[in-house]
Amino acid sequence: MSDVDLVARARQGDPAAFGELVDRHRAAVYRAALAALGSPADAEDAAQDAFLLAYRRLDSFRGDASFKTWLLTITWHQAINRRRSLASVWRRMVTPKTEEEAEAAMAAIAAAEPTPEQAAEREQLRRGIRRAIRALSPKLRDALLLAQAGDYSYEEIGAMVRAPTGTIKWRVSEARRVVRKHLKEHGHGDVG
Amino acid sequence: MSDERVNTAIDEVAREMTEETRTTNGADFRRRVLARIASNEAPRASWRAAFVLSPVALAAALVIAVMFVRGPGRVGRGGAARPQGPALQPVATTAAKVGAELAPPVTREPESTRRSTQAVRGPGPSGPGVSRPSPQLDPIDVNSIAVAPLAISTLSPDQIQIERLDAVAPIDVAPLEIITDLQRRQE
Repeated sequence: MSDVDLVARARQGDPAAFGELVDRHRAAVYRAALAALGSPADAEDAAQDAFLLAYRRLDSFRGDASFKTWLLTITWHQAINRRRSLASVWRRMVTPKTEEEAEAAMAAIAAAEPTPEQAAEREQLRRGIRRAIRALSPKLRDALLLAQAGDYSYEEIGAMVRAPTGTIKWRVSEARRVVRKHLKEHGHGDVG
Repeated sequence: MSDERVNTAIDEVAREMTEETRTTNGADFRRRVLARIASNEAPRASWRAAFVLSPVALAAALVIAVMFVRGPGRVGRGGAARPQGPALQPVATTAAKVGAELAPPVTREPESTRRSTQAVRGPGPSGPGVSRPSPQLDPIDVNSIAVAPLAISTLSPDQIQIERLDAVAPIDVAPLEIITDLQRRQE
């Protein structure tokens, strides 16, 4: 059954149909929220809110774009609103769980490397990249993270952030360039 | 390291930053969303609204308070707000002036009474041609201040004893001799 059919059934009051839509797009919605917010807890809240809002606005979905694009646009707005809130900023400053979790994951990846020196070097580079990505301007960072999330096409990203596809591509490329420059300036001399 | 390899590393890290690290599975997520829909729960209000709107509301309240305290006549500081210049002053007739001069002096109200009356009256007419109906105010009950007469004991000073001066004996003064300039030179 297509998304459009499920939307039609959900409009008629079928909660199972909307539940199916939730299952289909949960990962994409969550990753978009995570790209914007950087915190898994915030991302999950924003994803839930996005689905709730989408359910209430189902009547306004006209099918001009795909349901996924429409849903991601709602998600992005929810996530950006949350990102702008002081509470979210404060929470991220106080509990940087993401970094700890990611560093644990990176340590696990590094542990699979053949030699300890190579593992340490790779981990150091990844930490530098992570810092550089966080230091990017929001527009460049959003474009890079959404593009690399793997769930969205450039067209979908453009629809979410309301920018032309060409602009999104430029932002991704520019984000990589700025990150390389940041790495070079911060002691990764063998970069670029 | 080539740009290509660095770009690959950047993309990998960016992908990790959006990877699902939560233990919540899809079924839990779906159940929560449907439960919120069933309970007709609204999406959580953004904190931003509270942080933005509360200072705005506070500023608006302050402005209203300032306007209330200063009164409507002071809001516009331009010339139209109040009559200016002698031409707008009411012209007193000669008879009125004479009457005012002959009238007994007005006794001043007690300070407390004046203050309360001013507060009730508010500002006067704020512009030319503005006619306000005179407010019908209930008379203010102010207890007449009946000051008890001061009880001051009459002073009865003792008489001051002054010794009498002795009579001064008359002094005999011999008439002065008149010496002319010629006599003085001869001496």
